[in-house]
Amino acid sequence: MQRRITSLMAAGLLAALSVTDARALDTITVAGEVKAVAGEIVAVSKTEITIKAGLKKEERKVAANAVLEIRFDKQPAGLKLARDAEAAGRYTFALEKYTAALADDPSQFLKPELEFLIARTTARMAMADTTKLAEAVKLLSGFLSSNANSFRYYPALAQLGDIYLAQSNFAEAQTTFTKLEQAPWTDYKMAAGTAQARLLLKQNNVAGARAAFEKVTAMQANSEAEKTRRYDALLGKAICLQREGQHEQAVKDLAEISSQAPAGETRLLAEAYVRQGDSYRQIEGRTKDAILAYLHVDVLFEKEAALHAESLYWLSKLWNVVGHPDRAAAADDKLQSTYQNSKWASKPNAG
Amino acid sequence: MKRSWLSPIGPAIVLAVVASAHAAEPYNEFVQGLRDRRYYDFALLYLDSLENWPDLPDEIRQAIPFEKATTLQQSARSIRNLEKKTEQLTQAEALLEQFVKANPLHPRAGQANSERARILLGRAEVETMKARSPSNSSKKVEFQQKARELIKEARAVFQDAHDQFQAKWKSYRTFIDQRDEPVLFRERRKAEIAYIRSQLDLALCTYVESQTYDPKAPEYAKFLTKAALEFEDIHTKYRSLVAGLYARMWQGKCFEEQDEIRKALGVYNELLQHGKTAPGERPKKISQTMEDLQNKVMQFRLICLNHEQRKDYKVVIQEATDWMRGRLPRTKVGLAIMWERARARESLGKVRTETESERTKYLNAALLDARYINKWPGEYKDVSASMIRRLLVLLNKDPQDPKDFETAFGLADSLVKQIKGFKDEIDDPKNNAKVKELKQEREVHYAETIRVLKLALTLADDNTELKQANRARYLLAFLYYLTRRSYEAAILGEFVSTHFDKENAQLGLDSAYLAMAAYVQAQNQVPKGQSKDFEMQQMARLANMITSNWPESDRANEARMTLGRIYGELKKPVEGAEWYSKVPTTAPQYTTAQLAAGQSYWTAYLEAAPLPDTDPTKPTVEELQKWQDAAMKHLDTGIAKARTQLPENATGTEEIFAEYIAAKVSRAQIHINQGEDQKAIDLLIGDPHSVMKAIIVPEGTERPQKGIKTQQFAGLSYQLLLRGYVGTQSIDLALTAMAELENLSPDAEGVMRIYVQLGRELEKEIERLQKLGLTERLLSVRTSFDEFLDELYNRKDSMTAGSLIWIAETYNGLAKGLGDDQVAATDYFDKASKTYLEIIENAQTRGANWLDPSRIVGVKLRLVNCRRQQGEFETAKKLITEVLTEKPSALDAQFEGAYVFQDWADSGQGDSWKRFLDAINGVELGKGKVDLWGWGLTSLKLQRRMDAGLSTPAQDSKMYEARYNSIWCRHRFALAQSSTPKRKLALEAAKQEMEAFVAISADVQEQWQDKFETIYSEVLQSMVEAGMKFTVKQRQGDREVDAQVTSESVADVRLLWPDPDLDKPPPPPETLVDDDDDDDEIVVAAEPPAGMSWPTLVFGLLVAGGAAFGVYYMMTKKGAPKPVTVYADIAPIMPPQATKPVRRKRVAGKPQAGKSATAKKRPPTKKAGDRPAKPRPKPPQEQS
Repeated sequence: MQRRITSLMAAGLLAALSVTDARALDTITVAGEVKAVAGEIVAVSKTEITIKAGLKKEERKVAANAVLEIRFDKQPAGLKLARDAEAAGRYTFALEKYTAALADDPSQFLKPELEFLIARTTARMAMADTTKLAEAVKLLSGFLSSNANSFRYYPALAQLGDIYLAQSNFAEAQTTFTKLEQAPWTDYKMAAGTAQARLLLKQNNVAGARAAFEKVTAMQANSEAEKTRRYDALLGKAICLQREGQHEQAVKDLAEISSQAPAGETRLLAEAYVRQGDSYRQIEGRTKDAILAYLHVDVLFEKEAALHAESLYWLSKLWNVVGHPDRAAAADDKLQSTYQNSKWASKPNAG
Repeated sequence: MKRSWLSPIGPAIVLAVVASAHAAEPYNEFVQGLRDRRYYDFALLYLDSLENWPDLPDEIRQAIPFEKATTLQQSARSIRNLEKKTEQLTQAEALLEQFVKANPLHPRAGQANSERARILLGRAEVETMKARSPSNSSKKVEFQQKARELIKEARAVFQDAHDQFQAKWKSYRTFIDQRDEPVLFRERRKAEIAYIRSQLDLALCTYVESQTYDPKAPEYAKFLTKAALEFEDIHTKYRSLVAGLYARMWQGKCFEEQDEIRKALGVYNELLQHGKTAPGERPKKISQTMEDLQNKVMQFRLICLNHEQRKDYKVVIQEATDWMRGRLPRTKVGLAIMWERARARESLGKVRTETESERTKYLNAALLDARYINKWPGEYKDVSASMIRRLLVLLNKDPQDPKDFETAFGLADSLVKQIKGFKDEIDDPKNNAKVKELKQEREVHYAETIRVLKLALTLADDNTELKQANRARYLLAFLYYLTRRSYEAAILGEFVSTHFDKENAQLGLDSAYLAMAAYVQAQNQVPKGQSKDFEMQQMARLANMITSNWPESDRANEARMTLGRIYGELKKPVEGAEWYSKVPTTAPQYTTAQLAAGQSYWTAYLEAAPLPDTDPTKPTVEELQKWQDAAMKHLDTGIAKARTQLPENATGTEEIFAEYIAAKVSRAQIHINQGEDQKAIDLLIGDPHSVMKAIIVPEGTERPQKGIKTQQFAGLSYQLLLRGYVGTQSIDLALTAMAELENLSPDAEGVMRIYVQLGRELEKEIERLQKLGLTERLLSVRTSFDEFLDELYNRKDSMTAGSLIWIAETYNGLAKGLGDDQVAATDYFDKASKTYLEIIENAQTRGANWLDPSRIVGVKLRLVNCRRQQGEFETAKKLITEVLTEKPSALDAQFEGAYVFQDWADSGQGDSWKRFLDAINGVELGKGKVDLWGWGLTSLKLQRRMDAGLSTPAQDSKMYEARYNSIWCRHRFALAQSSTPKRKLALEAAKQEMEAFVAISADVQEQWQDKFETIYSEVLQSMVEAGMKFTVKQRQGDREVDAQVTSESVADVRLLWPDPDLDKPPPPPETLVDDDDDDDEIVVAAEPPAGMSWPTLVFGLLVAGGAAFGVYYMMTKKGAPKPVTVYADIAPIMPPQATKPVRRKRVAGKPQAGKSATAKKRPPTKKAGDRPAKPRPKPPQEQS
């Protein structure tokens, strides 16, 4: 009898497992929704994802700009680790895992996702290591040409535009941002506006850039994403003010960002602090304010590699000014050991 | 070389500079300049562009490959990435080869060959390094073979170069006289150096070749023996040259690698002795080349000490640690030395005879070293990675770091909990002998805890519980606080507080409080002489945040107390008082807060009352009255409250006892200020909790260094009591109080100091009463003193020397305080002089028991001051000559002497103005021709001490005072000239001195900057009035321009104080060496320890943490200020320093004679290891 019960239990367990196994479960984390949407992704376009969710397998369309994360059915175990590593700025580790997952015959929807993740991680590395810019362009362009219908299409465009900008390839950057502007969502339109303003700024058209940034800051921002894009533009405006020598005003705008932007917007916050440091350096008697601003990046936003390297460079100089050569040396040490290939590490007087 | 990272501005710079360079054709210099500034990419771009110039001279065009190669070689040296480095060196080598092939007869062909061979040899070393790397074991033979090929190639080139250089050198005559044929001499010398270098290169080839074999292979020993002989040959020939010493070092290396450790150590020790001096001798400066050589030798020596034959691991650790002190460990040799230390620590960590805890300590320290080394590319990268793995196993740690937040945080949490154990061990008196080691061990533990906490935060993801992540952040902030990385602690604390206070209000509050505490700590770490305003503002901001967001919390009350203190330190005592008074009655700090509020208001009153009416910051009389009333109210409340809280027979150990007694002393002072002398006496002597009883120590017991029983505080209490008795004309009681005062000091020096201070306090009181127009009270005070002093003077025959000094100083104080009433002042000066003379005469007749003869000189100096004030300059000169004859290097005497001549010059007596030059340039005095330095030499001597980092802030102030007076005298001298050309010349000299001083003075204290601005403005005004046309440097945006000064613009001219230069490197250590024998003779007077006003002293007692109040520091620090002079006997009788920047009434345009205009309150300098100032953040264990 005992044996029979055990067998029945085993059979039940097996049945349960097979039921679970039979249900393909993709999970989409959607911005603004507490509960993730679980089901089977059946279609993907550049603007939305269609998923059959719930017991009744009803079709639901999720806007691509609202997708925060997708966990694919049967995705490799290391993928989450890799994503976390990427988010934490441990790019080499993330890249290893993504590449391994891609080599492991991924599913129809996972394959382009992995290609995107590899391209994005490379692009993020390239922002601190200029030797990788060309590779980032290659990977992102490749992704866009083979995956024109991916829900990652617009994010990839934004990333590619930034890389072109880093390369000072203005023509390609302009083309890319113009495409980005075609996105149907306000937050992406705002991002495109900000990107184009940055392009103008990089071409030394400060007045034009400032007007373009102000155009974005004047837009109505309702969602969290839109508010963040507004802060992006405000940051751009502050940079224009710096270029015009209006450092006091720039500091005020930057302080608004650093005090009000969400803690999770690490890139935005990190850059706001770096620019604050830049302005304080230009204002007489504010060296310690500058140190404090740069130090925020070192303490809180280390994963923002390019900005972190820049902060360390300035810290390596400014600590000397306030009589702490030991701390200057420690900052320089960190810069040289962590970002050997960064332009900040090889700048004159660094190292 | 890839140049893709060049900013777009790069080509523009290059084009711009190319254009200018082309015009003037300074090709080589220009390229060299770019290389010197490490603009290698621009240098290469420039060289690229040169190739396209049609009219470029041939010799320049031919050298382009050589210049490019040189640039690439230098660039490669600055690159850490091994691949990039190799890539650049390969390019350089190819260019050199191209250059030599195309121009075999070019004068630089030989050099190019040698450089190319050195690159080949360098590449061979890289291959050898690869062969040794554990990760390349399968390709070892391949790498070794490749290395040998490269060496072979290099040797062939070196041999060619050697033969050429040798032939060239031999082509010169054996003897060439340097004086007769300097050019030829230099050429031969150059040829000889190239020849020596080529010999060294060849020997190095042999050595490097040995490294391509395994140590057990016969070739290894064979090549090492051969190399040793070659190096020995070079050393024998050139032992006096650096090349010879290098050869010697490599010879030692060959011994070492053949396990002849003793011989190797002999060689290394011999090399390390170069440039060393015997103990007590002045250290010699050694060249950079020599220093580089000795650093390398040190590395080799440590390898020997770590060798199996020696096992001197502890010596290695000590020497490596000493070497690293003040040096960057990340240089090639630095990493090598750290590596040896890591090896020594690892070895000790395995020694069974060590205790387990000791072994763990060594292993942890080794791990720290290995982790640092592993961050850097190079030969130690792989081996340090292996060591890390080994150490983790030995330490029973998972060789893999945690991979998720929870595990990492759990590990970090347990590490945090172990911190208390370290503290307990350090605090345990049993461990007194090894506190230093325990602290080092704790530092290692801190570093590891920080590393793991940071790792945990890096691993945090969306699934991490926010509360846990924030706790990790809080702990990390706390660790930063413990490791004194104050700003980091503050940033993290504030971040948690502002972003996550809604999730966990208590953590938000604690984090904010931690941030505030971190800024307090940061303030204590501000280097000497720098402003602390920034840290104070941050503290105030955080404290405000706490009181606004958590107004009802205990932390808010602590914050209010902190704000009170901060504002006090920011010289805003009224704001401070307001914060203290906001502490609610229910708070445990209420009594303390009331006492502090009263002290703050009273401080505000005393600081503002003496301000001249013309000072715009001076409050109205009504406002002053309000502050005095508020001081009384809060002091009375606090005193009454404290009285009820303390038992009648309080022992003095109670928490608020000291503040309470101090408050009573302040309140007594207010009574005296209001003429209520009897009430003051009652408060001081009345029970319960009598002040005069509280300050008593049992007979035969030494007074403590801090608290209300200190000599200083007791002295002040007796002074106040004495003051009360003077007011009530209680002669006998006053004499008893004076006797008590004298008993306080174990020596005459202390007694004198107290009496001098009494005089100063009286001077201030008189000044204050004058300023406030309290004529009646002023008259009453004067009458009291007149009568009292007359009575005392009548008893002079039975008086001690100390009491007579008190009489003299009191007359002096009355005279100075009555500056406006010249008739009364002269009378008092006369009386003071008479008394000083009495003292000097009595000393001679009554002998050493009455007054130590060595102190007479100090009394004479006071007499000089008195005579000067009286305008009796001839007598003053005679006296100062006597003083300087006895103490020629006493700074106080030199100052007083210069003031004598300055005041004399300014007195308008006949042609006295000529004496301005004596005041500036000094003069020989008397028959003994003793030197009066004058302001110029005095300031120069002090400046040198300052530059050498040997001066104290008080001495720095003295330097400014001397310099200021020098310029002031020049200006007055100029104005005294009747001839216009002479006047112009003198004015120009004053202007130049001012500007030259400013150009070299970056950190002049603010109050001195103001004074220099004023005198500069006066000089320029005189120049304009003299019709002079001149320009001054002024700042226009980011630039400095020459601006014409006119009568309209003169008021706007400002001195150009140097900005802190971002690019300015810290001063090299050599500049800190004071090698000017001349300066050693400077003798600086002891700093007067008790120059504070009474209420400030009293208030100081209340200040938690004691950050800024000098007397509080005096009362709390471990030792009383030690005189820094061998002539300390002069110091006590010198006028004490003013307690704040001088606001003394001055004759128009006259500098501060006889009274330091420079002195200010010295903030206490916290020493490392002192207890941190309050507030203290809550330890993590208490955190929820």
